[in-house]
Amino acid sequence: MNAIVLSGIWGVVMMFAGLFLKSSKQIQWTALLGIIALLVVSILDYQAHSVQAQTYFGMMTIDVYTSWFSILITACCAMYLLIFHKDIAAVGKNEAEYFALIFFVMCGVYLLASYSNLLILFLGIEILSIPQYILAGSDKENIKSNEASLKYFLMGAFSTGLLLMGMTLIYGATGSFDITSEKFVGQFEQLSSMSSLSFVGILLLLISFGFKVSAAPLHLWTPDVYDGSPTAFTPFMATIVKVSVFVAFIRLFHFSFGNVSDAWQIAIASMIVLTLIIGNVTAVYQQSLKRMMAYSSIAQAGFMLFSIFAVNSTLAYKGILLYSVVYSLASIGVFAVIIKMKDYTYDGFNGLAKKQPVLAFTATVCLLSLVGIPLTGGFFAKYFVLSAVVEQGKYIWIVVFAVLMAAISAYYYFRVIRSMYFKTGEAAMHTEPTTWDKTLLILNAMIILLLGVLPSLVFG
Amino acid sequence: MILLEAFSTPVNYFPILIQLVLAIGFVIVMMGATHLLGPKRKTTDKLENFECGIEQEGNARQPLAVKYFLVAILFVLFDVEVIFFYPYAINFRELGWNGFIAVVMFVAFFILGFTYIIKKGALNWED
Amino acid sequence: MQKDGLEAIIMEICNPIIYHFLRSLKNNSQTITIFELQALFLRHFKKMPSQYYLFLSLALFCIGVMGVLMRRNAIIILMCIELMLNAVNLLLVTFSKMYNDPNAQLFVFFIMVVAAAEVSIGLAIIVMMYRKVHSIDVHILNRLKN
Repeated sequence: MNAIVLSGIWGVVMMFAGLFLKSSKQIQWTALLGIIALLVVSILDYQAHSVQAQTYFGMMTIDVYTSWFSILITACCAMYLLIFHKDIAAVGKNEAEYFALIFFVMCGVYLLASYSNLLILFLGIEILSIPQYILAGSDKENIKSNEASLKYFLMGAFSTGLLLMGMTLIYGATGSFDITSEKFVGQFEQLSSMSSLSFVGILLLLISFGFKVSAAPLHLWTPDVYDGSPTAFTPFMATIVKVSVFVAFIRLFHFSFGNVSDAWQIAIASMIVLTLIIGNVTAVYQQSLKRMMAYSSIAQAGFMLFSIFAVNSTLAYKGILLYSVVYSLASIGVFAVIIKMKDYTYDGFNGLAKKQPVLAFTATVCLLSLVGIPLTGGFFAKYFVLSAVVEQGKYIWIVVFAVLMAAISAYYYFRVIRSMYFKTGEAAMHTEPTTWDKTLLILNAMIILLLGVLPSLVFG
Repeated sequence: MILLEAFSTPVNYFPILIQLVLAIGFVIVMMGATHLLGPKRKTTDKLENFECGIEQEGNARQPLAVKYFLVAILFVLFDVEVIFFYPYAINFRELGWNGFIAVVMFVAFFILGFTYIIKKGALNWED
Repeated sequence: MQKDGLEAIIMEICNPIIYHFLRSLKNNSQTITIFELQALFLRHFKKMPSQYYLFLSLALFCIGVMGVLMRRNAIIILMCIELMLNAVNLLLVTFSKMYNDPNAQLFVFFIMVVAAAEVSIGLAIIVMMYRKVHSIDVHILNRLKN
């Protein structure tokens, strides 16, 4: 609860910091101070809620799982800000506003992790999305950035409309917005007694969440938006935001609609298949690394959908936690290298290993983790979400299919590694990495390797 | 509950109707009166659109300065927030001091936002 | 006689009102006041089943969705999105009346406020776009395709 309040207030503080602090360094330090304070507060929240869950005004329920996720996601955000704070400040002249918007997004993230009322789910998704429309268009002089912003806005607002219709129809069937209330739970106890209104409602919610996490038939905005946005903000949208929408997704569909899973499981299954095919196969044909990472984020979303597919299994909850952390850190690590380069194509990375061995090494670790090679965190993340489905005993063929697709993904991830290590070239840098950058990137890579050996660290 | 039951009979709308009639009547009377009582001298100069005394030129459908959009957008934002005062006004006594503190907090955030746009120079007309 | 669809609905709404109107004319043999007519309307609409509202708002919602998918002008798309949200608002108020539960009306307030925030962001983005390309046609948004 305190984390929600602090993130909102710190957003306002950052806005005014932009007015009163003159130097860019001071603004960046204020932001870093804020995220560290947020981390401390969320740890204190965790200690307060570790014994029993607490409900606030019938709107939010904070339990161990929620507050533990808040810590993890705040830590990922701290890593993101530590690595990218200079690049964020370099995007435009309103640097303090970008940090403020990031704090507002974090407020939405905490709301999404802890809602127990559909109203808070709606507000969380909006607080999460609206700042992102601005962040996507923050490079005002660049027409690509404008375009990304407009596309993201139109698609996002449309999916909000669908989300609201879904919620309203479910309210019409149940008579309550509180997902823990008896009326709500009673409606979704078994498939035969469920009304047709709530069936349509679930479907609309599914479509809307599919939009937000960029699952396949609804993914069309993703590559354009991630490619067009300033490179400093793309990792934020692709990791922290996407992962927290997944947590909201799993919360609603497992806790509330878990008993009627027959109604929507087949839809998720077809989404997974399409997402994996489109994400992985299209990524193979990309020339720009930034765009490749956008498609790769679609493909990774396909794997994360498995945790929603495997209803009410403990492995799925563990899997999504581990997957969130590992995927976020790995993507942030890769983007941290991309943003240092002048040329985002594969050829631009030729010979990076000779010139910047540290950057090449950390990027390699992150890419291996995205493939899911053993000894990196990505292996256990994929292992947990897939074995959650195997444990259920239905739809085993999807797991086989996913493993096949992971093999395809190895092609385009390894292509980057090949450019860096086995090709000769200039590897022109946009900015030279400082010792501070290198230390953080090595720390990032070390965490990923550590999670590859001891994945239980993130289970709390 | 209070919201739902307060306006259930048509008698409750009677004052609103009277006010509407009065408002429309006032407008009609005033416009008619100026029309009838005022002197009329029609010349070509007077029938032209008034443009600060100089002769008009060009089309009126020209792009406006972005500042108008800015003010309009800010107006939309601040205008709609007032909606939250309606439930508070109806349940003013029931909510007591807790409600008052909540509303003061709400207004404080409002004022912070307003200060921010003023400081940022969003309402400056001259650059 | 079986009437179909919209005609049946219109007949069902209008018939009782005309009936009451005519009866009051015959009984009292004096003109009916505007207030009596208003009361008749209100009495009838109170009895109107909520399915009608459901159909109306679903129709509005579908018009909005089709508008978003088919129109090319960014501002009209924005208006269609607003139409979707307002259809949702209407439906929420209907359900609120049905269940006698003010929570749904609260939800409507939040939807309106968030929609205003969203629209102001959207308009700002459209203005920014217009200054660059002098058009708000969404079909020219193809610079990002490789």
